[in-house]
Amino acid sequence: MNPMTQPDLHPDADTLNAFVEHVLPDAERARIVAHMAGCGRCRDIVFLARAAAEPEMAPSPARPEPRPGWFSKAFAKWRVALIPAAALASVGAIVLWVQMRPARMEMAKAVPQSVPPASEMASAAMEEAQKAAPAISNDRLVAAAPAGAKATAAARIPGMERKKAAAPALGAVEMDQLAATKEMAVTPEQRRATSAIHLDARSAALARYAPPPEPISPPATLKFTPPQAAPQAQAPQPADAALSAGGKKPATVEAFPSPALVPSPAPPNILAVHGELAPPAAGGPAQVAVQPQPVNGVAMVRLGARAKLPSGLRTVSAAALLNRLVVVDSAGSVFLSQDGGKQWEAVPAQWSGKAVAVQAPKGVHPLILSAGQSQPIDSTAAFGQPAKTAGDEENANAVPSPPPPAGAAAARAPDKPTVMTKAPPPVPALFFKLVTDRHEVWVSADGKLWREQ
Amino acid sequence: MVPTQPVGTAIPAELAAPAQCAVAPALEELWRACEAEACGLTRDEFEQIVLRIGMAQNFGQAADLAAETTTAQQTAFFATLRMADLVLARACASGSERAWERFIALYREPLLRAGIAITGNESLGRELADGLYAELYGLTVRDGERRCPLDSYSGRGSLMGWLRTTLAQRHVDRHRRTHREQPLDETGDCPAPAAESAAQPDERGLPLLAGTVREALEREGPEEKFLLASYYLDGRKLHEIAAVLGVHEATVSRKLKKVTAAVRKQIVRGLERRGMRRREAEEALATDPRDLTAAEHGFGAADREHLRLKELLQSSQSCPFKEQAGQGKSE
Repeated sequence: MNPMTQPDLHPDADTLNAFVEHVLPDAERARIVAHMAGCGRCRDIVFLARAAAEPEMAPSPARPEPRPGWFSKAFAKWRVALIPAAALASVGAIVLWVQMRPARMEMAKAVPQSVPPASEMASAAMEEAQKAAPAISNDRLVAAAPAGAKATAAARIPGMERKKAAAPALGAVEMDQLAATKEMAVTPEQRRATSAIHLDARSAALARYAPPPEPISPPATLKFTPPQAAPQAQAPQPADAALSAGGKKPATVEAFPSPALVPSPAPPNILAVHGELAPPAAGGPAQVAVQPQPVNGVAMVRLGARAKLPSGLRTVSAAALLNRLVVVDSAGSVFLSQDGGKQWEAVPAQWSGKAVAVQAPKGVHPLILSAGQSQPIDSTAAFGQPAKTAGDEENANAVPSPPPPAGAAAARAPDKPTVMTKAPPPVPALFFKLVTDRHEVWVSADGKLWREQ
Repeated sequence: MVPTQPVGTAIPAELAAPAQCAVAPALEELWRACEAEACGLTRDEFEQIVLRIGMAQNFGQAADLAAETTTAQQTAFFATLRMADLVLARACASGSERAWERFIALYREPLLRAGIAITGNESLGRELADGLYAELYGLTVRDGERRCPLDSYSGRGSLMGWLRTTLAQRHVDRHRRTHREQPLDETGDCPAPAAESAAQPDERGLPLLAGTVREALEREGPEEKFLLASYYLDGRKLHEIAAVLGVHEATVSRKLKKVTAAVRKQIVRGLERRGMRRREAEEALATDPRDLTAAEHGFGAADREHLRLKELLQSSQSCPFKEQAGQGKSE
């Protein structure tokens, strides 16, 4: 059967083309389909014509539409739910922030977990005391112990827990005093002492997130001197039972090596505080006053470098000494902050020229203050020399001044535990140094009053 | 050389009157829009061509309503035609030099690409396209009148589509003429080819399955049979069938599944009606319908009669397309 010779048997090219292009009326299309159901030739023609037309009907390959990936499809599918999800996430983030902020501050107030429990320290101290048969006075023993840490724990725990924590915070006191402490309610002095911890959040953050300070050598090795008579201390003391609160070794004192107490430098990111022994109440235990002391000088310096000064200028030099931060701005003005950079006060220029740099000695570690003691313990005191006693200074909140002469602590009561240095290492002087553009060096202990060196 | 003898320009006298009175403004507008004058067609020639096409297509209406078409229907029908392509094709058929220049500029490269796409071979495609050019451009005289294939273009589809379909026609016809031809040296070692005549179904020796399959297929509609033939006989892909029918591929798949299940069900029922057990009937359907050989599965094993679904489907065409079209138009 030749379609060319018998053209009436098959639809012509015009009709087949109209079928391929879908422009035929329905009736004529049905006839074509009925014909093609039994005509392989016309099916072949139609399929070939359609296949030849597809490359030209296909879009230009020069501009292919980007095919969305699975993530785009999924995103397009769930994008309706994106808005409430984002809102929910925002609310959740706010709630978390609100909840976490006071918790962080609370954590900052508390002693880090690396601080050893008072019981271990006290028991270790007592063991040492028993070995050496000393009669360690309450206040000195507490001064040697990380009383600040214990007091901090006590300040965090309310109610009875606070009492339990306060008892070990008192250190290795005598047994009867300890029993009395367990029985008695918290005295106002204790509250005052415990509530003396008032680290601000910024200082806490500094202590938490500051880089580890450079390793420093202990400026002094403290020892317990053998007491003259210590029958009370030799008595069996239920230190483990009474001082069971806490859990770890102190941060500032790693151990109590026999017979000496060697305060080690504070490990990084550990907040140490100054303990201050209040005069023991009548018949009551010794009280500990804790003074906040951000000791991480590197963080303080960095804080000063980023601080917004009252002059509005950038900081060119900063130095931290204990809780004081002195900075020099680009105009040569000097500012002092005693609250971690929150508030600044301008230091009047007592030098000629322009301040260009300020320095502070490195390696200044936290110092322990006795009750009523405004000056830190003289860590530079020679071995065997008694430290300064409480009440030597009038101002308990005074800024640590340059180390007094060694003889200043000679008036110490003989029954008090004596903190002595094992070997006097070189201790940096607690002075700020200010360098002017005329190459003059001025020093100051508090950052306010300067004198030329 | 461009043929100059006009073709198909004889217009029946009855076309002149309605064109002048009713659709003359529309034709005037179409004549200006398609730039027929640029191709060398006068307005009278244009009107005659368009009216002839309209009469041949009944202005898009059923056959019995062709005489009652309104001016709006005629105008709407003319608007559906691709006038620019139609004018160009008819101008080329009439031998217009400018029309041929335009035709070559527009369609030479696409025609060559279509030939290559159809044949799958560049040389064959080029040969096919050149042959069509010669046919379109040359002189084919039948009954003393020059016949140009472009004269059959009615403007319902695109001229490029018409050219592709014409190329496909030529290619298929040539393939069907020559695909069984083999060189003599290649046939020496081969066994004797299966006699094609043996595949022709014999009414007396038809196995039981043949009648059942034929009966089942005749129950199906034209589109279902087209689907079965395209998918199972021609091996077309679903997307190819869907593109030809203008439906989605999933629709073709669903229809195929449905019609296959229906045909199988009808065959099993027919076999059971003819005394076969159901299990035997289902086993008879376990073969591919494209290779359905009844003799291999116990049906008429004595006469070894091969039953091919293709022949059953192909033989379903009972009358020529022209008669079918005539019947459809008369309905």
